[in-house]
Amino acid sequence: MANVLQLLPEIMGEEQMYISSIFKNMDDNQAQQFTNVYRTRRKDPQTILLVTLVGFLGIAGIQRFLTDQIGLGILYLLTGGICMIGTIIDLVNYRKIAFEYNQNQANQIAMMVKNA
Amino acid sequence: MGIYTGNISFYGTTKYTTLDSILILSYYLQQNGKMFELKNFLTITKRIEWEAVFWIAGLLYLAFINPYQTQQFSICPFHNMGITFCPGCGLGRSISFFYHGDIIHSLKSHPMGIIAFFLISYRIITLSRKMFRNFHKQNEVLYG
Repeated sequence: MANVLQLLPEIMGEEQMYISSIFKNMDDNQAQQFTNVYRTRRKDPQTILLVTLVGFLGIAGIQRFLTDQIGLGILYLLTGGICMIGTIIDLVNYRKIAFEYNQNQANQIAMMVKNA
Repeated sequence: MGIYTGNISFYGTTKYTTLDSILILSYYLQQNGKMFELKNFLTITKRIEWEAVFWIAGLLYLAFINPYQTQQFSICPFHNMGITFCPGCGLGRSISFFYHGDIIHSLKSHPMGIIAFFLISYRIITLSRKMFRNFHKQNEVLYG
């Protein structure tokens, strides 16, 4: 069984646990393939944090666009992050926003790798 | 749903309902008398989607305010700083008017109010579905 720490040393916490649970059902070759694809698609929580902070300068909601929530992204953009309250919420919540996106991507990639 | 006999193995299939997964979790924590230990309390709080809680609280709050009243106070930081131009102001009142069925006033307060209501509702649904799916998955991992 592949080791998460070896293949994806940059991820941690909840995400690490999730990826290791995906690796349980894969052989080494599949895990390597998964890693290659996942690394290009994954969004770093730090990027989400920085982009959320841009919301205070007037352009809010980029974090929602980056994580495929286009509806809420437009709402944030046109209302100044819902009077900045939404931006503050996202600032507290940035890890979960990133993890949610990464989880979806990981599920998709795992399906692709297993069918290939 | 079944009676909890103290052994989880009678759940031969993995067809939990939402309620089941919450009950199994709380049952196990109570059994071990650890419900209120800090560590377990933290794992429970970590599983809750606070974003969904915030959106629900916001939408509920708007159901109880009276939009026809002249505005007493605002939670908008721009408004409180004395800046009158804010692209988000009126959104709350707009949704509140929408609850009252007053579409014209709603669109006048903020043109995106109605769209915002549906977007936020959709987000709440997505988040809760994800949360309960994760409850289910984690219970499977933790308790077989």
